[in-house]
Amino acid sequence: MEQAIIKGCIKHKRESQKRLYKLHYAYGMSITLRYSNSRDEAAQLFNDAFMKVFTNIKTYDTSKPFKPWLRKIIVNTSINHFHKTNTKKIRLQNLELKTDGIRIEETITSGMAYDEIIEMVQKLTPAYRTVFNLYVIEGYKHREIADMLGISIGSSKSNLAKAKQNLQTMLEHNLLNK
Amino acid sequence: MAPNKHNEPLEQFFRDKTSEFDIPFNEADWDAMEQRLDEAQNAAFFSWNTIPMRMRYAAAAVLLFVLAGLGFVIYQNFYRINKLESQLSQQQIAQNEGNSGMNQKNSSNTKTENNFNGDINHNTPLIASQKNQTNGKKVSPSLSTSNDDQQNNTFRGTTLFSASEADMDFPYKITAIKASTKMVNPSKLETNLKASNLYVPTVTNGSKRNETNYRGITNKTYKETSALSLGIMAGPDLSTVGSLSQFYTPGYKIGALAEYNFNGKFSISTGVIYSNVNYTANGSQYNAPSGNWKYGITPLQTEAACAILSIPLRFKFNFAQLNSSRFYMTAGVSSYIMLNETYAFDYKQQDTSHLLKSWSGHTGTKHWLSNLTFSLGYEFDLNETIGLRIEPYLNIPVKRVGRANVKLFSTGTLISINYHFN
Repeated sequence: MEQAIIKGCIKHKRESQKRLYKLHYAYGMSITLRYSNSRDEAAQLFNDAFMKVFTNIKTYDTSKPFKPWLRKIIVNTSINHFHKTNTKKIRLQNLELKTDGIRIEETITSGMAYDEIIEMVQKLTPAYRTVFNLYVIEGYKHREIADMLGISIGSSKSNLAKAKQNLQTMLEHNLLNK
Repeated sequence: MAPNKHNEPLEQFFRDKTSEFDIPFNEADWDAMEQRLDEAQNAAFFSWNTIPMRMRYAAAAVLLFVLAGLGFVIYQNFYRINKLESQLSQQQIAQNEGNSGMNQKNSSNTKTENNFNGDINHNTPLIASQKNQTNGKKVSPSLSTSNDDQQNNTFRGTTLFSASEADMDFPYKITAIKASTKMVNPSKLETNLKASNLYVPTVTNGSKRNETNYRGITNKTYKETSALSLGIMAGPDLSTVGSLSQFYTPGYKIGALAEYNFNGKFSISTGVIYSNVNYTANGSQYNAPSGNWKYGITPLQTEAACAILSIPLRFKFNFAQLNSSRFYMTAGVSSYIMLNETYAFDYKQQDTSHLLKSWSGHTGTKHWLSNLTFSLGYEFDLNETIGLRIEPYLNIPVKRVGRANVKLFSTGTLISINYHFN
């Protein structure tokens, strides 16, 4: 069914475009929400990404699954947005990388809603948030993240550490309030 | 992207939680999307890249047809105007000779002329015409008008016509001139004929005409009888791979063309043109070979400088012929051979130490019939054999060329000097 919709999009049929948009709306928004400061910004980011999807739909290889292709476009769009809105050079923060000692109270945090988690991520600074998303959620290596964002590997590692520290702090604060 | 092997609780927690999304569809977001699609559609209406290939061919064919039709109409009008001008000039010449070369008495020839053809002007010279006789002899009749001739408006039995009614199609032979009176001095008539140059030279296809003795009947010049010509050309070049408003640093073209003229109107030409082409391309326009980009990072912009050898094959049509110049149009196809290609890549990242910054090489790839070529031109004859041309052109891609697989548009103006072999 998706192939038929994509064929319609190639022919610039509006109905097919809307169907494709609706089909991947939740998935795409779940990505852009993590890279943006607010829901409105996430929606705009999502539309930016889908504009690229519709413009370049002819280059999509129909023999491969659509979701990874869409995900790549959305992530790249988010990174471009990050570059546009964060022109200041990300400063290297010489923090010790803490990979241990971050505890999670599973019994309590498991009850946390998706929206709460997203809200926490959105509270991070753009640099921390982007590195966290690329490393933890998307699965990129620090070297790749450094190239994509135009930063050093050290900055990527330190930003990740800082992001995790901040998230840890927010989680503990959330636990205390419940 | 490598699979994330980190199993830290925090990381795992966020990975799991962010996958539990349940986001309801928001119609307002689609409305905003639809508005953007409408705007993009309107903006792309005149964009070449959104037009299907078949429509491009159809548009090119229609444009060519319209230009050809326009050229034909212009040419017909020019021919008609020249024909009328030649008739008028002949009338005037004969009139002048008749007034200056004769000892005339006012006679009542008006009656005769009027009887001949009621709408003929009093001063219209009368000449006899016979078609298809090209002996090239000077006319030196011995005039002695008989009474029969006078009454029947004939001379030696040959019916006389007014100059405006005579069949002026070339070639023709003047067999007699009736001035205005019965009394005609043959020797003076001969003198006047010489002075008026009203005799017919011998003409065969392909030879030069002696234009000093033959004026005004036709607008043809030497060049239409020349079959082969060679020319060298040069001019600036503007190239782009996107819209026609995204031109970069001008390049240049230089080359040579050989042209064969069929019948004075149509000709065919080919040759070799060396082009120095400069253009810019954004990430989506530069289609690099697989694996070209490190870490999947594509450049924001690419600056290209290429040396290309193009081999055009064109048809030329002269649609408006003037005294010593003409307007023409050409249409054809060009094949490209890539000689050298140099690309410089510009990234948005600040740290580009690990990225490909440039590429240069001699590729030698051949792209046969890759571009359509159109032009409108003006040629001016400097002398019998040498002509000067100025020719704005437009090259439209039908295939992608080069290492970057781009659709290369080019425009500019070529100035050429052509030598016509007789």
